[in-house]
Amino acid sequence: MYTRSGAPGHIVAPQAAQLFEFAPDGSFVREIGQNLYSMAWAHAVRIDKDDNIWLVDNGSDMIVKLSPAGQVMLVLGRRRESVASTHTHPALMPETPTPPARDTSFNEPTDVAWDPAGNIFISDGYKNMSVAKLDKNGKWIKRVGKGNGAEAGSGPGEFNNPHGIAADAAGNMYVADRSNGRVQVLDSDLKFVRNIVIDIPPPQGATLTGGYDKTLAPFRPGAPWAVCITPGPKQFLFVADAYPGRVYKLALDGTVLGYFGTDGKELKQFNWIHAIACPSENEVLVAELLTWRVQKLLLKPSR
Amino acid sequence: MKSLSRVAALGLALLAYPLPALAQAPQEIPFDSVPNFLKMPPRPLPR
Repeated sequence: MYTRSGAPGHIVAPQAAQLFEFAPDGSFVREIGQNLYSMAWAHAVRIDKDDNIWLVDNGSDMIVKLSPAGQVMLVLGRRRESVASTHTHPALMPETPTPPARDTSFNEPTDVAWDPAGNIFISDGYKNMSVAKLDKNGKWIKRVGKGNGAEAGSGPGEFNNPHGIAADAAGNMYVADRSNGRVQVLDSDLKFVRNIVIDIPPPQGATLTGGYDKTLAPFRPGAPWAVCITPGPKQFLFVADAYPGRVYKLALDGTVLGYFGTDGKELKQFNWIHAIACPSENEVLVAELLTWRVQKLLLKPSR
Repeated sequence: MKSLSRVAALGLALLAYPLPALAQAPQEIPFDSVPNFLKMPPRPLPR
């Protein structure tokens, strides 16, 4: 679990990221990487097939690979000297000019995934509006996105706040293209495959914690905040939205098979799911931004 | 008679053709949440 719970740092120049390890039964194991230079503002943590730990930090604009023991193995991107004067949240505030994307650099990256060859795919992110591909050693390959890579777009291969990414066994990438309200599927060469749009109306009386305007793009029902894909021969895609606070189970072709959850702070309710893991079809872990918690969910499908 | 048999043949052909599965609207999936799943130690954390 990669969190923003550390104390050091100013509130607008945070160095608050902490990384915790828990056992499968939920018991605390250890804190990893205390005061690591890249750990500023946690956005995502992913574990690769070799149990390496990948930290994606949108405060430092860095993606760092740690060994299972916590040693730094690979460093991608470079931390700015200060983020105090530059941080805004374009998903929620009026557009601000963003400099063109630069190869090998990231601008508020959000998530990481890998294809079977170990190539690295980074959703990038809040400021850049693109997906980057690097080889397994961190050598830059390419970026796909509109124009200079920092422009929001809604066409194929264009993004508006790519907020998460997950890979299937064939190496296709499922990008949570959040403010476009779709999961965009790319092949491992970053070529557009298809869009997946979830269109299930919210129930009457559905709420949104935080008091935001529900018509804002990140809060449209089905707008993907987090994605994961189950392992195994028959894979499923899970997608979480913030409003009305649901998790959707989909076939990889985009068919919505079912859904569950609602906005709220009680058990079985969700307050802005920001990260999701699905170790099996009927076991899902969700981390919520507004409740500072992780829920382990056991699904009981009737069919 | 000939046209009647054609109609019958068409009917049989339609019957023999496998019907596509009826599209089902996505349903709510029942689920449980494990209470108090993550067990953080009290702060400050052990180092």
